[in-house]
Amino acid sequence: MIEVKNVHKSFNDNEVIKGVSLSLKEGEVVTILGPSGSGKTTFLRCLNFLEEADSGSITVNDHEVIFGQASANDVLQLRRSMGMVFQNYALFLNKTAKQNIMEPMVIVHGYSTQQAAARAEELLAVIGLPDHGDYYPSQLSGGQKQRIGIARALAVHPTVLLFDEPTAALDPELVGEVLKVMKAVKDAGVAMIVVTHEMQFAYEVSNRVIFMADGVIVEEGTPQQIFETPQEARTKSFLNRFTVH
Amino acid sequence: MNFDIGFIFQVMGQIIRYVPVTIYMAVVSLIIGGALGLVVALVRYYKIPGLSQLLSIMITILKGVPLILIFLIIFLITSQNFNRFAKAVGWHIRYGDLPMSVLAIIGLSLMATVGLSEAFRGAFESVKQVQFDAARSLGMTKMQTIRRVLIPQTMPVALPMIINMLINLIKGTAIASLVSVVELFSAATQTASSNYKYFEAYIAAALIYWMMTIVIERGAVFLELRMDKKIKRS
Repeated sequence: MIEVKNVHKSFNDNEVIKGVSLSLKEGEVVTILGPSGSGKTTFLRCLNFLEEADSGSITVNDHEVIFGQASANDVLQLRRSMGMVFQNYALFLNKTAKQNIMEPMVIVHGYSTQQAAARAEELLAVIGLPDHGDYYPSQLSGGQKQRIGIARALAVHPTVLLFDEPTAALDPELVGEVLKVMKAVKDAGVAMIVVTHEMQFAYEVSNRVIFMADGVIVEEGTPQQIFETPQEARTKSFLNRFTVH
Repeated sequence: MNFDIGFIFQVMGQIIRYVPVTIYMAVVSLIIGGALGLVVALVRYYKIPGLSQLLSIMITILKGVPLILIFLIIFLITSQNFNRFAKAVGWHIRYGDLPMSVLAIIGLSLMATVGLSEAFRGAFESVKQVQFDAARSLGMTKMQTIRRVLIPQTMPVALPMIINMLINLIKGTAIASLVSVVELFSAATQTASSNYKYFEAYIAAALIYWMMTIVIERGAVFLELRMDKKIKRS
């Protein structure tokens, strides 16, 4: 359903993504692990053209877009079939929680204000913030903001949700509430590509784990394979750092 | 020299009815300058090739010229060429029929465009990159992003500078007296021409300008407090 082929990306002369491919079935959750600087965030940002990859392609719902040759309209259509959740929440600061969730529905996907408001309220209930619709981002905690970020990305029924280290900026005690919402998203059958350092999440929630280093996929497999019987030395040493402490 | 306090109040009473003319010229200039300034700032922010460099040069030139010179140049150019131009394009209007306040508004609008384009450009920089990432990831077009994200987040930041510009424009309207627009300053001067009590007349005019400024500043504080409640940088 989602097919990413052979993505290359350089910044100036520095190649940071060296031919990464990835395919995703409907409702599948893939977690990408790897040390900082391994290119995982850049790879994720290439998927919806926040960074423009040099070559490769992405196919979502049989609609293929080739990096380096995409028209503005291709990019817009591609983005509209995906949602993205950011490390720093990226809520619109000039809008309330509810307006943030309604924004893509009304402005991009042509929902009526009533339809959008109803769906926003439904989502606010799902993420456990039914009474926070009128709060501005500045009045919310990091965990609350991130849950709203997820609701905003989810509102327009995207084919896949991209998560860029969604819990990395959170206080430890707020991580749980965000992971809970992410599990709920999986249970609702939405495919997810998650870049994270949350090993627990990767192990328990994802269908597949990818270990990336230096711009290439070093190893991929089920969570059991990667965490219990890693094959590559680099995977082992990376995982050791997390399990030893 | 006898200082006639009573005459100050007498002049104030007479010229206060010209407050609307002054406010009209200042506010219209603020609106025109705000709209043009926003366009200039957007062109420069998005670095539209050619246009961006051209506007940058124009702004640099205009920034370095005193308002009174801009105003006199506009006066010279229009007074010598307007009739010919009007005839060429078939307008039945003569230079003498134009309200002279239009000249003041053109000059003040230019000043406002220069000042506000710089104010907006600075305020644009306060909007974090991640806000644009969010808009793009949701599939918003550039125009939607400008309208729904960039401008609304810019306004609270630019507001103090916009208010400051309004105050400068109010004071700047005094140059309209050069082309015989009857406004606050020229009205005060005229009142004194019969008895030569210019000093008192100037003080009367100054007091009125000052009071207008105070009212605007109080209003601005109120507006800023309201906006602050809504948008806090997090």
